Amino acid sequence: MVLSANDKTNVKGIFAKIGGQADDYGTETLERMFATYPQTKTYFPHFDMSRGSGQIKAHGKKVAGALIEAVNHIDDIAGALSKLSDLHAQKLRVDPVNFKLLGQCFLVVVAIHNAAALTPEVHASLDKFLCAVGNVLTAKYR
Amino acid sequence: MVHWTAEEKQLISSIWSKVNVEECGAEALARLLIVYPWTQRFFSSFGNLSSPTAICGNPKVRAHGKKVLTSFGEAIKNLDNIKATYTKLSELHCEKLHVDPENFRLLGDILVIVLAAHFTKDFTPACQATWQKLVGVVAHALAYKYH
Repeated sequence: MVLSANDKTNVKGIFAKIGGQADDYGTETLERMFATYPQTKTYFPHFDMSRGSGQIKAHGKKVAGALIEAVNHIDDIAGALSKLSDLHAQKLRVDPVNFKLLGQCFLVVVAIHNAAALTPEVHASLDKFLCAVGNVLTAKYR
Repeated sequence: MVHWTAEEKQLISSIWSKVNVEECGAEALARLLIVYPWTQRFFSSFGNLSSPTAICGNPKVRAHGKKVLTSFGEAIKNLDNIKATYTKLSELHCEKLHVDPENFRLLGDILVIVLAAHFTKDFTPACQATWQKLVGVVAHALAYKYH
């Protein structure tokens, strides 16, 4: 799966619309992921999972930051996220299936706050981009 | 048998009562064909699927989307017996249509996104969790009679 020039334009475009709200999107994505897929909480046994949790907010910001980094280096996502890829392979070892769950929730958040901008074409591009990020993060698992 | 809490049933019916089945069904199927283009393999008789514009405007896609979502409504009417509701449809998708059940999961995920776009803030995390559970149950029921 390769990101076309159109995909890259679409992804940059939607992230430009998201702008400064990216951190909030990250937080909401995690909240929804924990609510919808409770098994994802097993990776955060030390987290306060209540609404408005400072830990979820901080982690949401991290996740958003990583996505933005990938967008800003969309021609070389593997390079941009290399350290994160190492981290996930050696330390975190989050099962690969969970990246799809996170991606689904991010798409839902974007749909809620930017319905008009999430045209079918942008939806397709964003889904591909999120897959690519997940692939990079699990690339060194074995 | 799947257990639904009173809250889940309420979240399902309150959303469903406001869904335009024709529009939502068409949108969901079109997005499935656009976002996961390999799913077009089942619709070679549908004519022009050559671009997102063509897919969205294709009358066969719209009609079939409406059919699919109408059937979804049957599950909602029979939440306590979804497997039985879909016995015949499951056999059909296996024996005649030869559809990989993974496609039911893909369509379910797309439907959740279409609902999110439509209901925005009303599509709360609890709502999303309930509907994600529902689409999962429907997908499972449709795959249940596969052999």
